[in-house]
Amino acid sequence: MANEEQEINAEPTKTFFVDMLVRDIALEQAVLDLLDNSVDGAKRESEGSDDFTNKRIEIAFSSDQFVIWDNCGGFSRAVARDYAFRFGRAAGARSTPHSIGQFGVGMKRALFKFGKHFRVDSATTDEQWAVEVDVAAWEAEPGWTFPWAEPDTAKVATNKPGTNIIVGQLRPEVASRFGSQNFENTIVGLIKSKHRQFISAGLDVRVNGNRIDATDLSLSFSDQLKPGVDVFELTYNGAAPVKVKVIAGVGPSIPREAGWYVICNGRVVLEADRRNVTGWGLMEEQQNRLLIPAYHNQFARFRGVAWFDSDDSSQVPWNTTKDDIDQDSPAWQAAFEKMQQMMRPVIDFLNELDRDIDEYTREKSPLLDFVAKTPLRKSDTLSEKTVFAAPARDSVQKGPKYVKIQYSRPVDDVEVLQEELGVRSAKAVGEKSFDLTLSRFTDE
Amino acid sequence: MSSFRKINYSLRPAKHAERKMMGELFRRLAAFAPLEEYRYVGLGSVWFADFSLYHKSLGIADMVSIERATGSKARFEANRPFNIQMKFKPTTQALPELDWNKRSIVWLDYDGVLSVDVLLDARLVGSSCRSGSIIAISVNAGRADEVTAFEDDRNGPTALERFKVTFGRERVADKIADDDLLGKRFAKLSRSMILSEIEEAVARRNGQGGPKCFFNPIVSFSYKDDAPMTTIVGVLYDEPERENFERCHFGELDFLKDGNELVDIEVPKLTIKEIRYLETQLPLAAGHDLQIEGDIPQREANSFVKLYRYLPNFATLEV
Repeated sequence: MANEEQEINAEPTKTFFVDMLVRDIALEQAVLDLLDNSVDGAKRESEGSDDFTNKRIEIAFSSDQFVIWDNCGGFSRAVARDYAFRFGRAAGARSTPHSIGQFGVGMKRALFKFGKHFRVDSATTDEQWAVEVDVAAWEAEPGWTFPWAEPDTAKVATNKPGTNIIVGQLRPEVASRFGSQNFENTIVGLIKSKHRQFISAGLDVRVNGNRIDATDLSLSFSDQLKPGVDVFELTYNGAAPVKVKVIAGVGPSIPREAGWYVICNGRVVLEADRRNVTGWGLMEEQQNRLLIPAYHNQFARFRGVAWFDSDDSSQVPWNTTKDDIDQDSPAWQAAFEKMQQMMRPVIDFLNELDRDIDEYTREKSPLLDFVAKTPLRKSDTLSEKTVFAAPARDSVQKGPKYVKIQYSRPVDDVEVLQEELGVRSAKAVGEKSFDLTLSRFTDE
Repeated sequence: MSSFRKINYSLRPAKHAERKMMGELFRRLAAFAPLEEYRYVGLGSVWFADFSLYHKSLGIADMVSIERATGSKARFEANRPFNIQMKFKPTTQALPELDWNKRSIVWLDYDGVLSVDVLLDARLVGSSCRSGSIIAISVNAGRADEVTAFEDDRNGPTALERFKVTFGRERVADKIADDDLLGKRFAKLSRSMILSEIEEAVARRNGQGGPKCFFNPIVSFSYKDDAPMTTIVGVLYDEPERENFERCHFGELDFLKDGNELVDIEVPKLTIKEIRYLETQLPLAAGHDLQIEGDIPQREANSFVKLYRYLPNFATLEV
């Protein structure tokens, strides 16, 4: 009892710890964290070749349970004991070059977030182990250890190395979302874009039985219209170098896809970003002058990509939840300058394009026609340094000059003509009646 | 343009059949509570055909009609057949204002195609309805608006791209393709997106604690009087009332007996004489086949057998 008088026990209860741990992560993000761990396994197996052929990750979830299985090499008993189940990455932890699961918390956080019972089976070519935890019982016990369980060779074994994780007794709010179609659509959409590069390299990812294909990010590419590409390397304080590639150019007119994409060690961290963070609507501090306009739909063709790649994953500019960049990272600050410079001429060109459309309408704009006909090229295939090139407005061949007519008439009258002329829209009524009148006056 | 300006509702035989079938389905809610205690929420237009039918046949007295066409207010008031409460507002505003403590039959019979507003309404109703309520939603299912938008601007994004922009990636499954925005496939997509939205609402509701809720789809309809339409109907109930739900025995409704969840209402084109002849054999005794005389087309005869109890009788009346 002497101790009670001298010291206050501030050791957190496990229940408190678990609740705090799972609070600051979105459910979607927790699913992706587990996927990232498997991708790291695939990266280890590929030994730097980034060829993921025959590597497969299957995710299945319902209102009853969550399962993730992979054949990506598994991890050893020692790694499990010393690092994988530790909260936070222990000093001296082994790391995967170019890893995307660097923060040592993703797996546990996801497991606790999902449910009250989990089992992890993993096998390397040398050994196999399992851990099974009943969370309620674990929270009630003293000590911070997880018990080994009897390995099950049904899903993974030394002759089929990989990891299988099952979470049951789902939390009610998790169970209801895992059971919904919209949640599945969201996860599929996120994986398609966030893990695009790995899937393109052959990784087979399945969600509830369906194989996911990658969305391609494509840019207009010809002699006259091509994106700017820059490639450089940064090194800070003797740490592993960061390879950076920045691309800025023009793509299809899809507002949802316009903006900056930031990719760290292959993992898409930002997609179609249109915030100040990536330079949109940025003011020049001294003159209070706008450097880059805020995003507007006339920039729906803007595509920018910034790749960061490093052996040391702490050198690439992402935050701990991998859903945003770390603006304080020196690599980011260096690349950001470059991104601004490369964005400017693309924005200027898109403003030109907008003026051309204003003058000639969408149907008749020669510049729009030129852009629409320019072939597309996948962004991953662009690695040569080039300067952004685009045709000037007066260099594109022009047709006759057009002018837009706008007017209104009573709905009933327009419907009479719509019926008589056999056309579908009010716009078509206007065009057809103009053409008819014109031919009556010019056919003399 | 609102459909009440285009279509005389009394001349829509397939819609009539759908209304009658829905009436039989509603009647089975008596396993939860007497129908007189229910409230009917609909979009009555100027015809109020559904309101008249369910008031007279089911005895529902508490009725709310939501009408967005505020310009013709006087006309709606003048045509209102019973003591129906009118809400002259868009559904997105009117629905949140309703008191949801009462068991309800909600039939949102829209004129237009699937839109974000339709889904927001579905979500609101799914998260608000009390256990023992019916949610029915009908939309025009000809083609998605985005297909027309693409045809008017072929230099722009594809119809599917536009559709994804409109509805967002959580609502549009990965496997959806351009042809899902047309015809029967669009009807199917519309139904599944509405269903997902209601299920999402129920899922969120279940995440809040309280007795576990379910949304159980009962039947879907598709028909075409003028524009192609499709309807999805289901019952929302919670765990303590599961037994009541089971006592409704929806599967025994004659239009659901063959286990087909989609009822395609095809109004048979038959003469009065042919109808009289077929009717003498109905209902078909178990194990008996329909006898067909003369040249009555088999297809028309079959759809008559399926729908005869629900079809309207037309006669012109000179006064």
